[in-house]
Amino acid sequence: MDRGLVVLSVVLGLSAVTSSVVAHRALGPYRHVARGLPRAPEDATAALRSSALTSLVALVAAVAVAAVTAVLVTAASWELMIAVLVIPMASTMVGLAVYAAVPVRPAPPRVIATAFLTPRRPGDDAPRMLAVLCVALAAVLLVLLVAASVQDTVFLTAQTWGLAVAAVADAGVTAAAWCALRRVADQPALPREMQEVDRTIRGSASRLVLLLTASALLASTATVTIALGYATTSRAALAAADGSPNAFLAVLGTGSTVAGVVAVIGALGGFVAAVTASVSLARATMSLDRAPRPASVSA
Amino acid sequence: MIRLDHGSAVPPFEQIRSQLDGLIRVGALAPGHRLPSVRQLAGDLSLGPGAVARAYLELEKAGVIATSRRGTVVRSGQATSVGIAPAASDYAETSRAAGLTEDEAVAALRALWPSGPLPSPAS
Repeated sequence: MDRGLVVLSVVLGLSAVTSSVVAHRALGPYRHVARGLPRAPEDATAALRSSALTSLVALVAAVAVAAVTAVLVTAASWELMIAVLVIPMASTMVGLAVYAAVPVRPAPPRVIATAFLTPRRPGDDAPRMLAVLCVALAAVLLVLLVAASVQDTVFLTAQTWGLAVAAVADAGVTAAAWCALRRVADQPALPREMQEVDRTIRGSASRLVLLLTASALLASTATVTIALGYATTSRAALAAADGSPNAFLAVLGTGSTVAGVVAVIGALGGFVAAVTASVSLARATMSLDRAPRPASVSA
Repeated sequence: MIRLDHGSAVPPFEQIRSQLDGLIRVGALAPGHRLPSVRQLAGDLSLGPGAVARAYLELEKAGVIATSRRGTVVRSGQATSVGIAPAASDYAETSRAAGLTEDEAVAALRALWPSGPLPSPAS
């Protein structure tokens, strides 16, 4: 059997397993929400339904933009590396912008309304590690893009302007994620009796936003890292052919490529988790009509 | 936390203003405490932002809160009724236990609020 085929099979298998594990872990909170749905008051289920629909709209927008952009950049003869670098971030940026632009659901009408006197900030209910990962990835990607643009790009890309476009997309997707988290915070709170449900819904929405952002940033980081790995390995091979082998360059190239593959696996896992979470939430909320529910809480 | 009675004859802005003022006076909201944005509070209370903005404006004019770029915060030196907070809390609990509504409890307090000295409980 061809050795390359074996390596490819191993990488694909590893990707599939890791993606499943990442997706499974990310779905935990959604399953928790879905389990409690049939017993939740109507206000809470309406809020959850609204959150699920907004997530689906954002996902559909992102996928549609990705498809359209792919057609456009193919027609414009973009290099594959630049296309793969820019498309994930551009499509996610639009998806998150759509999420942020969807009007918030008004608070359910009730005679006695209550409100906490603490400001809600973007990301208050978001998983800390995921938020830190997104910020770190955005910074690392920017550094990698600058590093790629300042060196001899003969092995990297002939369309160096694509790196600048990617840097703008990097900033754009980060800003769009912040706006989407802002919208999650701006959503009017559920009544006091449903604070736990309220926090869970906000947490789920924030997690989805961050999963999409991390997935896009990981995909683009993987592209740059693999391209840089290829360029470095090529440079090491040239040096070896000239009779002055450079072990450091060879190790750096291989390490960069491996890091890129790991990032691809992470990106795949994040995206699968985001899609599955949205779909499972939507299915859970749709099944509510068939489940008996207690009356809505009036105050 | 504040409560807004949409069925009350008291305008929403006045309900918000008086409750915030009371919470600040008894020290429940400490100096420097950041209040929610107008939009957040209005959304949670199912109100237009105008009512909350007016309540904040009145409190700002009274020097109870201050608004800056960082948001709206409670000003220092406003907790003038900290000493009576336990007694007020007891009164509220007793009134509730007796079946009085908030308006009735306040009305009873007003009735006992003469210009002269309050009657002694023993008399």
